[in-house]
Amino acid sequence: MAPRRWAQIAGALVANPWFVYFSTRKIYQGRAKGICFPGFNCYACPLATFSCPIGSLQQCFAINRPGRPLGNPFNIVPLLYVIGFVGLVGAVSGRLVCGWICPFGFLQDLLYKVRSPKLRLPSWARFGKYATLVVLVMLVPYVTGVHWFSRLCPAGALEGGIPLTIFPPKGGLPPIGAFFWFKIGILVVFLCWMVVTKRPFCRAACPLGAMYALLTPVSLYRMHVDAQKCTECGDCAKVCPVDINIYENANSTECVRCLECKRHCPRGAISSGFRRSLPESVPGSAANE
Amino acid sequence: MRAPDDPAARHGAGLDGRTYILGIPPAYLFVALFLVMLTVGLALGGFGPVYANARVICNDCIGIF
Repeated sequence: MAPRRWAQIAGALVANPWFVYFSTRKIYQGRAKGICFPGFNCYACPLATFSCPIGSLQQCFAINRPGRPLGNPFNIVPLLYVIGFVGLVGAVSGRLVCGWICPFGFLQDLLYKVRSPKLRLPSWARFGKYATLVVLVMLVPYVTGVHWFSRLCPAGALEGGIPLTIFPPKGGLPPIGAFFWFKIGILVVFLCWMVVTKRPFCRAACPLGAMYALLTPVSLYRMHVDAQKCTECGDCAKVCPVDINIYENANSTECVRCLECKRHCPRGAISSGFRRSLPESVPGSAANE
Repeated sequence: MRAPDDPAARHGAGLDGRTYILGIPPAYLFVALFLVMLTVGLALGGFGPVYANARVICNDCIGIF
C-alpha cells in the first residue's frame, strides 16, 4: 500500500480515536476538543476528539452577528485563533492536508475506485468552494447566527448524523425530523458523485479546501516541474485526483499535493519540498509559478 | 509530446514562483502573519469559545434540531 494511504488511514484515526464511545455512550469532552483538526472531520462524530475548523469558524462569525450585544471586543479573538491555525497550516503546506490527512478526501479517493462510468468536473465548478466559504461559512452565520454550512454538510450527516442515530448518546437525541432526511439526501448525492467524479466535494464545495487553496500558490511547501525533463506526456494528469496538468502550473490552487504525479512521472521531472530544498526554477517557466 | 531537450521546454513566460515582497518570499510573510494571529488568539483566550462550542454535540451537524 502506498505511503499516502497509510497517512490517510492515520489521519482518520487521529481525528477519530474515541472508540470508548460505543461502551460509554459519552462523547469526548476533553480539552483537545478546543483544538482544530487540520482536515475536514465532523466534531459531531461520536469518535471525534478535535474540533472541525469550519464549524469553529462559523461559530466565530455567529457570535459576532449584528444585534448581539457587541460589548465584548474580544469576540474577534476566537476568529484570530481559528484563522491563524488554518492559515498557518495553509501557508506552510498548502493543500497537502487535503491529499494526505483529510478523512473526507480519503473517502472520496476510495469511492472513485468503484467501477462505474466516470465524469469530469467542469473547471468552473472549482469556484463553488469559494462561494461556499464566503456565503455559507461566513456571511450567513454572521447575519443569522445559524451554522448553515453545518446544517447542509454531508460529512456531518455521515460522521455525526448516522452514527449518533444508530448509537445515540446517554440522554438520547431530539426526535428525527424532515431536515435530517434532507441532509441524508445531500449526503447520498455527494456519495454517488464521488463514485463517478474525482474528489467532487474537495474541488467544488469544501470551504476548508478553499482556504488552503488560496495559500497553495505561495506556501512554503512547493511543487517543481523540471521543464528540461518534462515532455508533457500526460502520465501525471492520468493519476491526478483533481484532474490538473501539473506542468501547466506546478503550484495550482487545485493541487492537493498528493504527489501521485511525482511518483508516476517516468522522467522524474517533478519534485517537491520546502522552498530551500527545491532546485532553482528555470527562469521564465510558467510551470513553477 | 515534446522531446525533453526541446528549447520549448521553457514554456510560457512569467514568474518563477519566487516573487519576493520587500526581498522576502511571500510564504514567510504569510507564515509570520498567521503565527502572530494564532498566538494572539490563544493568548487572549480564543481557545475557550472554540472549546465551548465543540465540546457539545453539534445538532446542526447531525441535522436534528
